[in-house]
Amino acid sequence: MGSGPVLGRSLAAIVLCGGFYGASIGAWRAAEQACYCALKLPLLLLSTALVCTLLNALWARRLGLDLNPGECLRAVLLAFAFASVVLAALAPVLLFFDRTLPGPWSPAAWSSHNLLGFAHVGAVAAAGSLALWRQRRWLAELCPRTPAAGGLAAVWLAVHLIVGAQISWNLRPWFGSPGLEVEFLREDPFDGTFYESLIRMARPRGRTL
Amino acid sequence: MSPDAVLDPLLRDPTGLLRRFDGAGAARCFGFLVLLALGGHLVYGLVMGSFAGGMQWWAVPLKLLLGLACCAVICFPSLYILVCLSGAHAGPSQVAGMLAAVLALGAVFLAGAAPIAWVFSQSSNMVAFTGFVHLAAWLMSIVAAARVLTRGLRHWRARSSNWAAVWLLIFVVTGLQMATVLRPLVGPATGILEPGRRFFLQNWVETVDADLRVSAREDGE
Repeated sequence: MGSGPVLGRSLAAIVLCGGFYGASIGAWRAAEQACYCALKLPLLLLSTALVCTLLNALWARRLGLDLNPGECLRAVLLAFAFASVVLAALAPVLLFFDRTLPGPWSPAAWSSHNLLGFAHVGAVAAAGSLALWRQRRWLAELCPRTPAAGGLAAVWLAVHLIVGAQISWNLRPWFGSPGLEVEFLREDPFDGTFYESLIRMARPRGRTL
Repeated sequence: MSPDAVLDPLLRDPTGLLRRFDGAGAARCFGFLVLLALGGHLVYGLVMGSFAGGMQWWAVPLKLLLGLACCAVICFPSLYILVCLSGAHAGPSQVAGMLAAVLALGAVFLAGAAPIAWVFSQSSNMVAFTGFVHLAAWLMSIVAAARVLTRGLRHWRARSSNWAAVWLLIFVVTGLQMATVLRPLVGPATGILEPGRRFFLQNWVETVDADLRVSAREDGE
């Protein structure tokens, strides 16, 4: 199969399967939030892939794999499509929990929020690990004479995690915290970074850096 | 094909049964397995309903069948994807057949455990204890039915059958939450479904707590 159909199918899988899983993230809060997340998750995956393309290609060259930026982007999109399909398969289970755990207006809302957060982190971690494992195999098949396929997949994973965490921060809210308005994006999506928020959480109260 | 022609290989030789999904006669075999799954759960539902009596006689078996069907639909996509990831050469219809076989074998074991569960449920007044007996019977039936999954994966040339454990975990968690959604399944009922959403662990803790309070009050008297 040529690269065109592979790219088309990867994009279709990211938009459809990623969108379905995205809906399962927002469905606990409200139907509107589910629709927003169904749009935002494919957007997160596609924008992460695009933003990282250049650096991914440079690392591929650095590790001795003869891949141009277009091939790197296709390889990343294929892995994201694979992860989206796995996530879509888990979405019915998570949707079921969305509809049966205490809702956002109940006194136990935060317990449900945290439990679902834990479940989604687990699902994304599992799908991501499977995609990484597949990507290593694809890269090894693509460049059989280069032993660094595993190393490149690990570097790409690190780059995608760092960038993906920030873009997902910009695209908040995902779950929609109980008590906060349902909205597509926060009022100022580029105010602060994911990493600054981690530092703020880790810093003892009353002290400044 | 008679029902016995499905039940016997299901217990003795699941691989032989799953082989039928590779050729003609798969639909008939699938139908028998679904009937077996429904029949076994219906029998066990009657035993569960006998604890509280009244409307639970008919409500519990119906809810059990509804819950089984919903769990199968919810967990089918993840089973299909995990089967594909394992490298097994099985299509959606073969995976659906394997799922039906898992549920049917589980139902056969549940029906087999029904007399034991009935003895316990008629002897106890505690909802939590009776619930624990039913939970143990259900988990035992799942462990017994897991064999179909591992045999199926091996039959369709999977590289590893470890994926079966991952799916069983998903199925058990979904089943536990489904039982909470369809509550009350064990105790007395004022309506078909209890209003309000709950997580299954919270439901268990509250049921055990309520039982212990009743038991302490009775001891005091």
